[in-house]
Amino acid sequence: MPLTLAFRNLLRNKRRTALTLASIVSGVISLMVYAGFIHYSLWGLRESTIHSGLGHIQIVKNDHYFTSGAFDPFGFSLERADEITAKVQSLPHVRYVVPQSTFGSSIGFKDKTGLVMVQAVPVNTPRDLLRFRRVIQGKDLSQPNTPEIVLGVGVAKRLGVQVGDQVTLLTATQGGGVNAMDVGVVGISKSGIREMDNIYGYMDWELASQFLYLTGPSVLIGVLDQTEATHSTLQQIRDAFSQSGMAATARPWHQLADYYTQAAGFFYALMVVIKAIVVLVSVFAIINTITMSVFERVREIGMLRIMGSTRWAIMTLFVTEGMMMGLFGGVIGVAGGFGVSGILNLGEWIYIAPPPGMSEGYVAQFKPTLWDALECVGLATGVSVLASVYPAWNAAKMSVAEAIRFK
Amino acid sequence: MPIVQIQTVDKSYGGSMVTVQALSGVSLEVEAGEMLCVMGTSGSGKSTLLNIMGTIDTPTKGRVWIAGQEPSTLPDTALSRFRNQTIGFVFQSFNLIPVLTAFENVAYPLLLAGENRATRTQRVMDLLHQVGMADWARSYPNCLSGGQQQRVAIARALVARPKLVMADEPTASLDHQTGTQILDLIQQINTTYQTTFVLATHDPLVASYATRLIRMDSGRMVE
Repeated sequence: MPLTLAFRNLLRNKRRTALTLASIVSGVISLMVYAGFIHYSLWGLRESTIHSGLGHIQIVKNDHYFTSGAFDPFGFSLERADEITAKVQSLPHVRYVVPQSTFGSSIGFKDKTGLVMVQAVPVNTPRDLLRFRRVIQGKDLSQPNTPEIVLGVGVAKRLGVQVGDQVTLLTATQGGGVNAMDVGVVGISKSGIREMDNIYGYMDWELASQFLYLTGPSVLIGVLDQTEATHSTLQQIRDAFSQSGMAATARPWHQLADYYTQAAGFFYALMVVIKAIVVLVSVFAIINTITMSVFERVREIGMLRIMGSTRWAIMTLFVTEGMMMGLFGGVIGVAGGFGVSGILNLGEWIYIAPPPGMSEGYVAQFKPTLWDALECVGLATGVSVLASVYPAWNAAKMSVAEAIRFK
Repeated sequence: MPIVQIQTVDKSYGGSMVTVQALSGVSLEVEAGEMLCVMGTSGSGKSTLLNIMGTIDTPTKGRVWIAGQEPSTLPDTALSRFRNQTIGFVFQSFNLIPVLTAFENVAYPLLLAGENRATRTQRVMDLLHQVGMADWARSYPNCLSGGQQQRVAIARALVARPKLVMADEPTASLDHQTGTQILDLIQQINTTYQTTFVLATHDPLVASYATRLIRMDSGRMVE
């Protein structure tokens, strides 16, 4: 009966209960929609980061590569790269493993010279690892070991290069010598990240290997069939390395994606602020409702106490009313959150301007998860319970004699 | 042994600025099975006396024993249980819980006492029959007349089979005919079950049903 009593009490003043529920529901809807937006944005950022050549897992000679590799990439050439590739390739969830080397070179065209970072991967690398770049003029690399290069749009613009032009690369080899090569520009690409387009070029790994006299790639990039399998696969790779005594180490994508980590941190910090605002609004609404309810039912509280209800039972009654409001508000809000998200996704009305460092915007999608739903219901219920404790305590500590005399 | 023993009880309300002396040196014993009427004008202290006997208020001075227990020594949980099992209450304004049906109102004390559903149903329906309200068991208080609400309130006061029932102006909100019916019902219960009733009133009709009468004036027992 205590639950029945609490539920029926909520229905006594339907308008007030509806208003309180409305404030909880609107708060939960906004949380759900925002959480859905964050998930979609971070999912997009995560996948584009992984497929911007980073991969899910990077295998290098040792951890120093991640701090010093940029200055001395050849000092970290992987030995037994083919053996490592075969080993990792055989693990579940691993779709493929490709070698990668990145080196700095000067690039010359007619009377102009500049610097370019050349990222070299095999030309037959599946497109999903290089999904981040679109060839906007010409074509992509297609022939292995052919002197061809694709330049970022910024590099091409700076040098005044067109598709079909020949450029000269000049760089230091692994052994410390200097080598030069004429390569044909077969395509101009755009990545969506302006800084990358201004500095990067792309060539076949075999060609780069011969150009630089490499004994092995500096990095092996592992791409998985799902990002969620990163942790388990990483563990399997590490186990395999320690069992076979291979001199290599592996790192997951999130330890290498600084921008993603910063963006995720920012989004989640913002989420905390929004949650705090929603919590505050709900707290005031619940406190107000329960306080009004206590005030209206003073004699009734007295009568319940006279019949033998303890202070604890009175407190529980009002806290239960608060809890029910939070629970109902949470559930309705979650349903509303999914509904609003679905409508916004169908409509595709919200265009997000390019984020800092990006050159392209996107249409916002909202993908709240089941976990968001549980969290919102839990938060709404928990906050409502906490908010009702104070007015419920006031009800419980009331003098019975004064309560029954109250008019 | 008397069911109620009150020894030189004082009760005052208010703070340091203004103090109202509601009871002064009241001593009283009520025997089991008695139907005691406390008469007095408004503000004479009769309701305060009933509240103290009903353990819903505590004296400022003096001691009180109800059914051999000194309620002021009991912690909240024990006092609530004691009140639930020992004392029933009937008020002028009925004080039924508006969101509960007549059945649920009467069943509430049994629920607090931890009685099972079958016992609750049987005892509640028996009592509702006895007070003539069985046909209204599913009705909410706002659908009942004053007399009907008071009958339900009496059933609620008796359902836990208390030794003592406090009735504060039980007929004051009722017309003469309904008031008489309620008093007949109280007298019948008093006679049948030897339940002790303490009635506070200023109505001579109520007094005419009592087996003993005391009068209060300005917080003192005058006769």
